[in-house]
Amino acid sequence: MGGRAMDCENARRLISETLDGGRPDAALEGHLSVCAACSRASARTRSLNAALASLPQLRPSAAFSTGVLASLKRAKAAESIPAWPLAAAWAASSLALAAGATRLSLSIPRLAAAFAEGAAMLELAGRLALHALPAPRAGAELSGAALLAVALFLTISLPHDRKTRLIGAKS
Amino acid sequence: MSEPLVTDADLVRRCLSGDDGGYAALLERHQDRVYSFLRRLTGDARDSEDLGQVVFLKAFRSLETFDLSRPFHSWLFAIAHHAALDFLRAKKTDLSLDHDEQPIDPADESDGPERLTEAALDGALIERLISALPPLYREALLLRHGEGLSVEEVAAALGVPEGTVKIRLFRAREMMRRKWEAFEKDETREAPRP
Repeated sequence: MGGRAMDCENARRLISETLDGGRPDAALEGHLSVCAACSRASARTRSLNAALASLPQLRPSAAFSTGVLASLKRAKAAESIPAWPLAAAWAASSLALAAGATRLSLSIPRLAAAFAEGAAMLELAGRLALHALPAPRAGAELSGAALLAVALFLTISLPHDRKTRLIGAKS
Repeated sequence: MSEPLVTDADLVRRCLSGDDGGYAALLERHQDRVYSFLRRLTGDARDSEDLGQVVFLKAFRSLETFDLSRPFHSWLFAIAHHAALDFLRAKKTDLSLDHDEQPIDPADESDGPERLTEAALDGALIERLISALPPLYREALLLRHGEGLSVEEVAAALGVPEGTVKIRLFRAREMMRRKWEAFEKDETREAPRP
């Protein structure tokens, strides 16, 4: 039985290989003519393959293709917007806010702190809004955030007299 | 089947030259094949549509990396294969094949053909047999027979050697046949006696 089982094991592999373009094998044909189990397995495997090949193709919903093309259009449109105008606008607004905070800090420290917090909130709101835009906008976001961070750092850390010189204000 | 007048490579060139009509044509030509593959691999219509969107978007946005001398559908199925496997991994689906590596023992098939009533291999049964296969066997079989890819194309799509594809196909066929026979035995046992 062990020898037959071994032969059958090889026969099963050869049956599968002939379905994948392997050449007809005389030894396999000889085995199939005397082994009912392998002969039946061969016929059934062929039936399965035929059934698989005749499976109907499934169709996605009508919204599928319009969804793909709309996503593609959005992605391409986002790519076509250059990043630098957004970064420049962000940098300008950040500097303006920081300059305002610096001026105020010279006379009214509490109001200056509130102003700086307001600037940070605006920056956060800007970042949230940018989540609607794809990855290339991340560069602009980071540029704006970095400039705002520098401006706030200057606001907080520079000594009073240096702030005064920096922005030309008189206390 | 005759070759289409406009080849996939022509459509890809149209896309790359800025003609958006090329995308719609490629999508129309391949969406059913990709969706069918994903649907039978994941088993869920909605997941398959979501994955299909990911596949086509990724393909269309990386068309410049496509080798025009290769079949477009093989490249597309490679993207679909990776997307589907990532999805199945995220769902904690078991993708290992270790539990299916036991040697096949043909000697245990003692039932002769006369003892079995061959169950009709209809669409519902074949879908059931496919869904019972491990995903890695299922996708090899679907690409080879469902989509008609050659062993070489299946290997390219799955990123494995041709020998691995042949082994997976062999095991998939054996498992399907055995499950079909087990199903028939159950049917025969449950059939009312006259």
